[in-house]
Amino acid sequence: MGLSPYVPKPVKIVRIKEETPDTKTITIGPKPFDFIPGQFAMVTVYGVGEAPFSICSTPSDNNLQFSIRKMGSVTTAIHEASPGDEIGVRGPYGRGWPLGEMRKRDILLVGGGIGFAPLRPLLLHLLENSNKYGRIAVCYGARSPSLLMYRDEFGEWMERGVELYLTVDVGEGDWKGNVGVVTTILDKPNLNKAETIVCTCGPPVMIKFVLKKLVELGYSEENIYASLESKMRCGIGKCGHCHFGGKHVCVDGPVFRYDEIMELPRGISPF
Amino acid sequence: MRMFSITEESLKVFLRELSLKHVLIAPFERDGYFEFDVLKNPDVINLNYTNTRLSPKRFFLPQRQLVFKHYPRKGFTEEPKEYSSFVLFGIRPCDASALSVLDNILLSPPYKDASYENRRKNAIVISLSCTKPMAECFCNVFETGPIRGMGEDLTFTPTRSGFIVEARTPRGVSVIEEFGKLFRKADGEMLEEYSRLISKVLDEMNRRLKVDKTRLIRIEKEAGEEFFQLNAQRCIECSLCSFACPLCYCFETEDCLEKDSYVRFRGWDTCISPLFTRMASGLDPRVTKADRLCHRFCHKLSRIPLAFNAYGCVGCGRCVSLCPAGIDIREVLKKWG
Repeated sequence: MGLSPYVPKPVKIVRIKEETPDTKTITIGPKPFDFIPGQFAMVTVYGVGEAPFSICSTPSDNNLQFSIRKMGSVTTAIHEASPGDEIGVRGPYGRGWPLGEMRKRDILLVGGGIGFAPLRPLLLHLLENSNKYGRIAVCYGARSPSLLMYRDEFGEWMERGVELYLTVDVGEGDWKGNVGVVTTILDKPNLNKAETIVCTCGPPVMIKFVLKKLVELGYSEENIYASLESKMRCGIGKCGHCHFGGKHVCVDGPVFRYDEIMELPRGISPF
Repeated sequence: MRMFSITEESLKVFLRELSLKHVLIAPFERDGYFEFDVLKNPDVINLNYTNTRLSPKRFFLPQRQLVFKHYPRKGFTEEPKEYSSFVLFGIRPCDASALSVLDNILLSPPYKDASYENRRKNAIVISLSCTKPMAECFCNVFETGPIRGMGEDLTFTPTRSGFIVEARTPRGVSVIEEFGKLFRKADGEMLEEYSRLISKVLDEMNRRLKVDKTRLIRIEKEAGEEFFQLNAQRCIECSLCSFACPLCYCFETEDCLEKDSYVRFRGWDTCISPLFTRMASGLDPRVTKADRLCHRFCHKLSRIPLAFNAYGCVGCGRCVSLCPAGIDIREVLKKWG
């Protein structure tokens, strides 16, 4: 008999990078499984606990990456870990971004703060296979410039053809970009709106106003997807923690389409 | 033909022989309450009970169980098997039915709960029909009793002349074959008494509470949080309803350090707890008590039926009799059924 689905696989931490003042990106490897952008994994710190995290590296990478904000006991323990330490990981879980729907279409990614983590594997995958997809635009906002993740990659993304629009709630230092919530830059991308696939992730209140604004701007409801978050203990639809209105965020999500989000109960649905 | 009979005397022999050949779990009285436990001495088995205070779900979903031990250089070892096989004798049809619903949920693809599957595979479940249901019982609503349940291998029903035994699964038949000399084919008179008994007890229960269960799924769309406001004012979040429920399967995990290893346990959790959905960031998609009660009832009466064509309640009545705040699921059934 094999080990139960609740038992993680041991993996070594390869690198730890300070992403923002409160977030570190850890690289672990070699990766024990393949995944689709938008899927997540359960990460265990031995003796501390286990929590779900979006995989933020590209599927073609030999390692796995997670951008982790220091929040509770597990994330704090990860922040205190060092390269060479062993952690546990199991996955991949959940439904990722709808890659099949994106073929030949324009694609808009809308992220807020740490919510860009599940969008990064998608963006990198699209860039690696750019002949299969249309134009790619990114609208990314954070509370302040220092909280924008993956800043050192922005230049490369733009060189590879991404239309990148940034905004912050409150400017600081030499910030000369847009100031305002992410909805204030949603009208900037030059895309074929009716046909564009939109993928968004961020805090619930951001998702709510982004979805509203996107529809106002002429994006089609059937093309809008958002990744939601929830407490989880198993990742496979058994523990009950992420069960809302008949859907398990871990199995039926975390990526949901606009109409599915509207069907979810208030609370987990940002509306 | 799968109908047999056994005398009271032969039943005693049957239980004694069962306890020699298998790990036998059966009901007995302790401190004024009835419980199930592993019994080495079958003489303490007491079948004169209406139902046990807690459901026998713990033999399949332990209140606390080891998920793994991780040894720093050796890697992972999994939960040790506690019993190679066991016989659960005398659970009520409602509790047996709960197992069949749990099978749907915990063994549904793409992932199976391996520990539950292992225990379920290695258990022989024998139910004991209710001829005198408790005042709080309403298994008639979900057709999970009182005489026959779902999910058991054998059904024992007391009659004036011993027990009628119905084999419900091939495994049940093999038990009858194993102890063949103790069982006889049920005769016509007994079969008649069996069907009379089924309709008699069912009629009694239907007079107490009659609900069209197929109408309950509308609770999700129609009831909303407002309906549960009054119950929310009374609920003290003690979570007895979840822990006593034979069908509540949600679990929480707990990691800790032992002398030479890291261990993870899992144990019963409850959606009534305000911590159930609260994330480390403080975000909580289900904030109010009314929301949580709404979730509990909608899950049982609407979402499980829609997903599995079975109900998340078997009418055992435990939550009704144990709730210190007097919250009564039968009121919900009356209103929405």
